[in-house]
Amino acid sequence: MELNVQDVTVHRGHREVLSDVSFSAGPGELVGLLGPNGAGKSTLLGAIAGMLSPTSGQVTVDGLVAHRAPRQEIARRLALMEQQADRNIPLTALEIVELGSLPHHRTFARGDHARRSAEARAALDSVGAGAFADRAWQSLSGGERQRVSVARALAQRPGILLLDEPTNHLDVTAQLDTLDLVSRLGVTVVAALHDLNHAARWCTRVIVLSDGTVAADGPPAEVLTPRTLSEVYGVSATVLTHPSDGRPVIAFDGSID
Amino acid sequence: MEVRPIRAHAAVPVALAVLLALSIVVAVTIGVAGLTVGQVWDVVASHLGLGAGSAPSTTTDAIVWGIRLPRVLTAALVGAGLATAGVVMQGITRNPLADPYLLGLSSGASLGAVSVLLLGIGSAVAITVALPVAAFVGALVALVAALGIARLAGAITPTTAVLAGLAMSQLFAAATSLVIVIAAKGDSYREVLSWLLGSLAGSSWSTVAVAAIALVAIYPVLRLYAPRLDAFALGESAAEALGIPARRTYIVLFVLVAALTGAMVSTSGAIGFVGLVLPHVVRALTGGLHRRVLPAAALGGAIFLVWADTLARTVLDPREIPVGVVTALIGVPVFVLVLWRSGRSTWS
Repeated sequence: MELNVQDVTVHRGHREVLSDVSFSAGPGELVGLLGPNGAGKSTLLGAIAGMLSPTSGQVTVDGLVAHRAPRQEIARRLALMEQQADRNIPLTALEIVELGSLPHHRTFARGDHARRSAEARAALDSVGAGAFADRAWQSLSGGERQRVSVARALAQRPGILLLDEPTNHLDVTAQLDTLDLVSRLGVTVVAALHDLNHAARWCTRVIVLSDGTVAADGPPAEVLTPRTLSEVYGVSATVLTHPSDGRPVIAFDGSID
Repeated sequence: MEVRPIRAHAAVPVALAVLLALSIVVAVTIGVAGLTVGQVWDVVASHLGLGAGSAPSTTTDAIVWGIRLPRVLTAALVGAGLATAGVVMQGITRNPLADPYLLGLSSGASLGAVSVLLLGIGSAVAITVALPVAAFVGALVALVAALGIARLAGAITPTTAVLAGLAMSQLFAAATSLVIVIAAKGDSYREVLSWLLGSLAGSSWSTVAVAAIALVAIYPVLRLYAPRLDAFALGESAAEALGIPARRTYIVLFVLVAALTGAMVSTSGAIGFVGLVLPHVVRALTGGLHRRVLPAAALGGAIFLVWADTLARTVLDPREIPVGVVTALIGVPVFVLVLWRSGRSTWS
């Protein structure tokens, strides 16, 4: 499913938080959105999801203009996985995953209940979370909650998956599990990430935002250079090459005053 | 506390429905003149043209058909309506302290009702018509004012609506107090107080009709929104990402809840705690899915208010306590218990 971001400019009040951002992505691409806090990563995800209207430019999802199309039509094509680990949700894992199919059968007619339930169980199984289907969200660990969130996004059967800081508050194992899971889905993924080494390991492409503009766009090995890092993040870093697969490994040396 | 939904989900509403039917019949037999279930049945049968048993005496008929049955039925319907409204308000705002009166509805209704009682606004019309109409209109005025202010503040979200409702609530409460200070004299204080606290003493077949029409018209629509209310539990943007136009849905639900609450308040005043406490009790029984919570809360609210009102009219016999006092006396300890058991885990 094709995602097109065309010259998107977004204002919050009078402040321009995104200016003229353009890129497109297709199936199998895992695009990492990088950049310091306030660079516009979350705003860009919001614009892609159609939740905020650009001042100019537009996002199209499978040909539909994201901020104008009916929400349900967008939701059938695009799923958003936000940071939900801290949220209290009075539902079980299975009940939460069942909500993923809401865009496909809105009012949940009685008849398709069994089918939704089966779909949700299949989604939980596919992320290795079948064992805690009937457990309350409140009783799950951060990593388990993230698996449930991925399963909910899968139940939505999206062509495009947006992730907002998917590894926040997770321990290392859960971080690796989550990104591994996401990278094997085969859909277009756009993920706002903080961890540059995660981006280097899993993304097929990274887009670095700086003050609302695209500072760099390309494969991690080309984009994640000491120069870009010092310009965008204000840090001095040494970029090494991983001995096994040649991906860049970033070692930070300090901040530049 | 972990929410442990019990397996036999279908059994909960069935059991509650049976319990409600029994409660209604038994509550009608209780009072100054003690009656038997058989006597109650004879009266009901004779009015429904089922003329099976012996013909009831005119006194029994007057007590059952003229007084107790409409009162018990009003209690059941109002309890169902308020508990339903409470579930929806807590669902939209994701706030466990939300209740049906959150948008200033009860204060608006009180101002309308007290104005009729004290200022004689309804003197031209029968007060039995003017009072509920004024209360309903007062509730809707409060809603429109709260949503209008929320809109001016930026957008109608649960947060802005609740804050605006709080402001409206204070304003209407002050206006109500002003009306009372200026115009109340002698016995009218008691009447006003009983209305402000909520009382089913004024129930009749017309209050049954008002409450029934509101519930039958609005409950099924709210029930259709159950999956969308579930999605709101994930957060507003998650709900939007699931295809739900959040802002529009808020407005639809606020208006439906206001109409339902306004109708209930117009029959019996602002009875508190039913809409606040029942949803919590029911959730502990059914889990959090709204398609299970809504019917169970409606039935549970009905049972609760039937018994609260039975206590209100009998415990200090021959005097009556406003039912709002009873719901608070029972509701507060139950609420504390629910909070204590759920700790901070179910909600935060």
